[in-house]
Amino acid sequence: MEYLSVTHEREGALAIVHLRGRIDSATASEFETQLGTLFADPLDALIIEMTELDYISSAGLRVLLVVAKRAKAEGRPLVLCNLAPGIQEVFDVSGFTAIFNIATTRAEAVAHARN
Amino acid sequence: MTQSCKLVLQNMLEEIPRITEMVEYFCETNRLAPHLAMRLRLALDEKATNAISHGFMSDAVHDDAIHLQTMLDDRMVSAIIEDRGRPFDPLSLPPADITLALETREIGGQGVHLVRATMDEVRYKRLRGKNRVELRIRRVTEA
Repeated sequence: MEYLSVTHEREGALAIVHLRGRIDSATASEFETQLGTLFADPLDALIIEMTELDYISSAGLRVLLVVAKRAKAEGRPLVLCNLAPGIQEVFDVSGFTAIFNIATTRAEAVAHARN
Repeated sequence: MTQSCKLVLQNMLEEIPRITEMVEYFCETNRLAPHLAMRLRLALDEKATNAISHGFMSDAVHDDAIHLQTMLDDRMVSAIIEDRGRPFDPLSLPPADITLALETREIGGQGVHLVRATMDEVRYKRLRGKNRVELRIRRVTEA
């Protein structure tokens, strides 16, 4: 069974990350490592597409918060998109909905990121 | 309608996916709504992760470090999670401030908040050398 898959593509200096599976305390460090690698290579903006992410716990929220703080400090837009209802609920109860830039579609996320 | 499930975990984070399997099975068997399944899974994961990460003094692996049980009646979905780690009452922490801006928001500390925010009832007892947390979700109030 696939547990977590993190893949990415680039459109110029814009990186789009696709998450599939679950981010919990067993997979969060893998997620953090992969995002760290992405930041090592200069990028202007980052989109994290969550369509196929079916679970996130506080271990995953922690990594997202670290990345969001870094993106903010470095002046790079970070946009999340396509949150499934269960993921949206976790974002709502943790207050993350208010502190993240969240788009409903990928096209909208790209527009936000380039703004 | 009173299908119950039990699970025993070692104090290793690699065990966490087994919670998902159990909760999915429990919720499918009992035809529980997806949002209840998500809340139950999250609360049990957070509680177990917390016990595994902070509850044990050494790296020694205990085969019966954590016991979980899920139950059901007409009104409530319930779970009991017991661990042999050091005493920790999740209700002793002050409520997390989830309104802080990104810059001032502290990294970490979300786990206990998520348990409390997703459950309708959380109870804690230290009993016979174990932490015992009881979790309850009402089945009817939310759409």
